[in-house]
Amino acid sequence: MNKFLFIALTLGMFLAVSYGLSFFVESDFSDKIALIPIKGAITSTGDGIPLQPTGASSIKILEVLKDAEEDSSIKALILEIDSPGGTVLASKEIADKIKKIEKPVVAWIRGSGASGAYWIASAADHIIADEMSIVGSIGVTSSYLEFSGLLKEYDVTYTRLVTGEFKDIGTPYKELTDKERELFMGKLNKIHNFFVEEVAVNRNLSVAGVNKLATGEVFLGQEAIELNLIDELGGKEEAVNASKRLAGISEAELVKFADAEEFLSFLFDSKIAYQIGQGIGSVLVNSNLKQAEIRA
Amino acid sequence: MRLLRKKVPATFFRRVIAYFLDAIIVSLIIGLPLAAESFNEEKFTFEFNGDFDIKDLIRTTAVSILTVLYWSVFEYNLKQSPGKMLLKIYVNPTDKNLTFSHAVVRNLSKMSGLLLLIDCLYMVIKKTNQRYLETVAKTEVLRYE
Repeated sequence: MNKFLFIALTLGMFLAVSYGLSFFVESDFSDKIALIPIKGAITSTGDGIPLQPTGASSIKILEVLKDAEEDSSIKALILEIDSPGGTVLASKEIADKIKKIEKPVVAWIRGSGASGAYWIASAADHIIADEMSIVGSIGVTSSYLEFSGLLKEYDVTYTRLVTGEFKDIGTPYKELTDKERELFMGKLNKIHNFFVEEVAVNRNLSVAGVNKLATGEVFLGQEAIELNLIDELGGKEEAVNASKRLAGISEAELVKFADAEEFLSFLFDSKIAYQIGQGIGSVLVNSNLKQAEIRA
Repeated sequence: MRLLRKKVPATFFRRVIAYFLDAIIVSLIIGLPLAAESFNEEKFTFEFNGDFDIKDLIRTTAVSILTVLYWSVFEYNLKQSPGKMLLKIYVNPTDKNLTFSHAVVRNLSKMSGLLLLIDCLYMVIKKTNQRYLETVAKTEVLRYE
């Protein structure tokens, strides 16, 4: 064989072996459990809601769930929930996604898993919470501040220029009319009923039973287990054990799945001060219906 | 191969330059592919539990073995590595033919810079042109004249 051909082939072989080894080293074949944090108010963008400035973005959580679902080394998922709830759509789309995941999903409620966050937890195969965790708050709110009295006191007039009867429903500058309130409450009741039905189906409870609990009341973990809103009392260890049990594995590595932005905001959380200001400001400025969100 | 008419030991300078040329090739075809993957993390995994990283051990071992094999394969087949070829020097067995195991033994110290330094110190102490492992493998490095 030609000397130079031999050199070229040998160098090519070394290159191929190096890349092959590299691929093998990076491929981790051990079983893993994905730990997915859902913390703060749940919104589509993760910008938070008034007075709850830190938020979880449903868009990003859906991406992380997809990654965990597609990763063959991930055998189960743990949702680390500490959230007071969020917007209806954001909570619903996460809950819908969780129901479609074929791998076992365990919801581990830490401080609170209330309202929309409980909706998400209810979609999991198993719910674990501490005795002192806050669970439940099944209900819907779209309350807002109304300034019409304040405006009247300062002799400021709201000049209403609308082309549809309900175009400015929920504006903070005028009182709700009876018709508007009726319309508004009708929508909230529809969402409420949907929420109740979802929880009933997810938790294998009767709709009537869930309806009794759906007063917006929060329950402590020790109460929630008696009401069948959760399956087990415990913390991280119990969540990991439940995941292993459901996945049928004895050993697994716990891997935190989070997007890069969350990691950076954790490092540079001076942003929080800005968000608090933004949250209070948005209560004062952005409270008409089209900007305000219906929250579960 | 157009071999020497007269056996002349390769100078230390030539050998060092040949070594560095080969080291560049080794870095490109072995070191880089194996190291590049470690910078290809897409997700953040927060596992600061202080455990020993087995992947690093495998990578380091793979680089060491492939590095030794690089010189051994070329010297066994061509009596020259690409670097030696450019500097017109070659490996010559002082006893019979150059076997593959001899080629491996004479290059074992190349898996680590420190080992190679110690191996070369033998040349200084003994005032010889052979590294310690070259004497063990019964080989020497000569140049064309």
